[in-house]
Amino acid sequence: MQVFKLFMQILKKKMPVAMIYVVLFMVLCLAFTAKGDGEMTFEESKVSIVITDNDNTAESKALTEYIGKRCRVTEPKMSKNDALYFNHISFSLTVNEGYAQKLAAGDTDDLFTEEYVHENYGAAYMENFLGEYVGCVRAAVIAGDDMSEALKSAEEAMDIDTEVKMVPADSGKMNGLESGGGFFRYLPFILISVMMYTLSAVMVAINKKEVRFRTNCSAISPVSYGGQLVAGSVTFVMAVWVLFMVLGALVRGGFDGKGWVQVLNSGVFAVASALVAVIVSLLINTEQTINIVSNVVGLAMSFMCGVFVPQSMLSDSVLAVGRFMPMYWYTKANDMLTGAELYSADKVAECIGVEAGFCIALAAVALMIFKLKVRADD
Amino acid sequence: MFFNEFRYNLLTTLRDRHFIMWLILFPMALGSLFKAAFSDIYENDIKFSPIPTAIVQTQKDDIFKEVIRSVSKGKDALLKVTYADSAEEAEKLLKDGKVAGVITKDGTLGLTVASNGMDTTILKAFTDRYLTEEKLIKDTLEKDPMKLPALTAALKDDLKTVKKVRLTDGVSDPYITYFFNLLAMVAACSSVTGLNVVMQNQADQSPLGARKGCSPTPKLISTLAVLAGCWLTGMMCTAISVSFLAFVLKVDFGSRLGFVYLAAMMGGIMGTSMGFMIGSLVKGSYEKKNAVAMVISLGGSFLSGLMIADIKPDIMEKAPLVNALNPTAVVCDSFYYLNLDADYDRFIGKMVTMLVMTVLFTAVGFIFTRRKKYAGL
Repeated sequence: MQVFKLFMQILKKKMPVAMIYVVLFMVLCLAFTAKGDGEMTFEESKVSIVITDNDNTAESKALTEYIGKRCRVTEPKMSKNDALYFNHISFSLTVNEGYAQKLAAGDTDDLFTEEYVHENYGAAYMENFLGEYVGCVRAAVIAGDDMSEALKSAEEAMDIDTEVKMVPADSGKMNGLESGGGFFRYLPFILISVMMYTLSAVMVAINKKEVRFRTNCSAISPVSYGGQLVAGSVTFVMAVWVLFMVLGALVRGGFDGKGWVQVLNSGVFAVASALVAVIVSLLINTEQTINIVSNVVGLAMSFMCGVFVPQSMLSDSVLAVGRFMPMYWYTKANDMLTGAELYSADKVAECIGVEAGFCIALAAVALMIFKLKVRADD
Repeated sequence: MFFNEFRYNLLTTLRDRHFIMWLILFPMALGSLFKAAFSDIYENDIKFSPIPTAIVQTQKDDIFKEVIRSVSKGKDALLKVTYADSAEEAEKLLKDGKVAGVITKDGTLGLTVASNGMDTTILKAFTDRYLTEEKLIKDTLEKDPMKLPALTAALKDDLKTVKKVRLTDGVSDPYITYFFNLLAMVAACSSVTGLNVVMQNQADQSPLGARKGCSPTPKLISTLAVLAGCWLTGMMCTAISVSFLAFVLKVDFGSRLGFVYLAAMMGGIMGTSMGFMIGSLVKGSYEKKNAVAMVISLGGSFLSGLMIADIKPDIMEKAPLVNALNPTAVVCDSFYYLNLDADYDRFIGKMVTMLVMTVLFTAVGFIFTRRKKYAGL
């Protein structure tokens, strides 16, 4: 176990640097969780809207009050352009001056002005809503109501609710969630990044030419050497993973039934991350470069496998490539466990099994690269 | 002396090109991925397109048929309709994700959906509107049948109540901010080149630093020459990244590409100076300095919205000061304002911020690297 001991000794020396990364990623993990948790509770889709009333009459006030019941009227703290661009508001409505007069005269053209940055579903909903409202008021006036009665009749008529039946589907987006929220959603990015940043510091030291040459001419076989390195990495990784799980338990207030499956899922993924980190460290062994490569690998995998952008929104070609990465299967299992996809215990087990298969394959690749390096040194 | 140092720094950087190569490859790899992943999202999921809907009609109803036909034709169509022969067939389409909802018309009007979202909310609004108008007709029929022709004529009218005004001529796709963030991250990662200024000039950091320490070249000139070399490298990396995104991946930066280059190169300079400052402030090994530089780059990129795009507007709204002080967000915002705004006011504001930050970072770097004395090396 000489190499294992050496690994641990170097790790001890590198611990301050490793802890910088662990702390960074713990903070990021908490920030991700805070951001993702909002999506856990389903809310009926309500359009966020900014209203400017330039008419300021009883009719325009009745309309804005009614819109307030059906939509989320907000006052964004950022500029209107920014809020529309980032979809913080879906619709910017101005009730034009002369609205009440035009409505009484039966003229319905350009009663409102919509300012927009891009055409979205919220805007389509509001256009339909305003058309319906004005149509109902007009119909009530034709039916003989005076204006104040017509406004009330329109509101009453529009309060009709269609009976909606909901069925489960295989196509994702279940329960209004496009991807599972909470602590485990962004964890794969955190795990793979923390493993690569921390392990690489140790691996770069072990893989220094002088150290490697000295070890190569010792009695230890390359397979044993490589195996001990992998064992050391996995031990370290499990320790880091336990730290994150403790953090997760604190954030979530413990784990329930499916929560424990998520813990298992992340544990298998943590081992896969460690092996990816070992492979990258074997291929690239300069301190300057390894961090930026870690960035590329961590971010690229996370984008391709549906961590940052839900799998249901990614194109088939991107997902086809993602399937060859353990992170894809982690995310798929997690989506099922959080309700973003239809839950099936068999499918979750299958996903975790595929991740375990990746671990074996990655360990074999790591040992092969190590052996090839030793041969090249000879 | 200055130009000698400057030249040799450039030669050293170009010869030891692993890092520079990765700094250039990094946006190329991620940019290509973003292009593949995000190119269709705006068209498919954000921009409104007619909602795929299955219709099951078991009773003959010409008015319903006419209404469906009117809302599914033309460029402003609300629905993309598929007629199904049975409820089972329609439900299968729904479960397979081929339609967003099923509208059933037998005695009454029913809606079946598989998810909650804006598309299904619009479907419900449509069916609600149909039921509302049906009720209005029934009520009028009961109260005053003579007014029915006028009412139905009024309901049939295609109302144009909303006048639309577009607020920007820029690219509307919000996913382009991922490319802005990517360029900002390249600029922030240039900080690693800035660390070299300290590594190459401090006697306790490298043998080269020790040799330079006892050379007759004034330290200010020597440091400035290396820093200028690193600035040039940072500018070059960001300029290549912009070129790759704009000309190879055909990312639409709008009509102000020249200013995009300017902002990116200024970002590269600022990132390098930030590295110089980090290198001078953080005592200890290169690893430690590098770790702090990466923490700031990665943390800054997170806050700027590289990983989760929604973070950016949240911070803009709730903690604008964080956005104003985060170097990565400043670079990203300069591209964003250039794209969104018709004028240059906010863009100029961000460029001035970058300039001020560069001066500040460089000044701090110089202050903490000057007049060092070593008892032994």
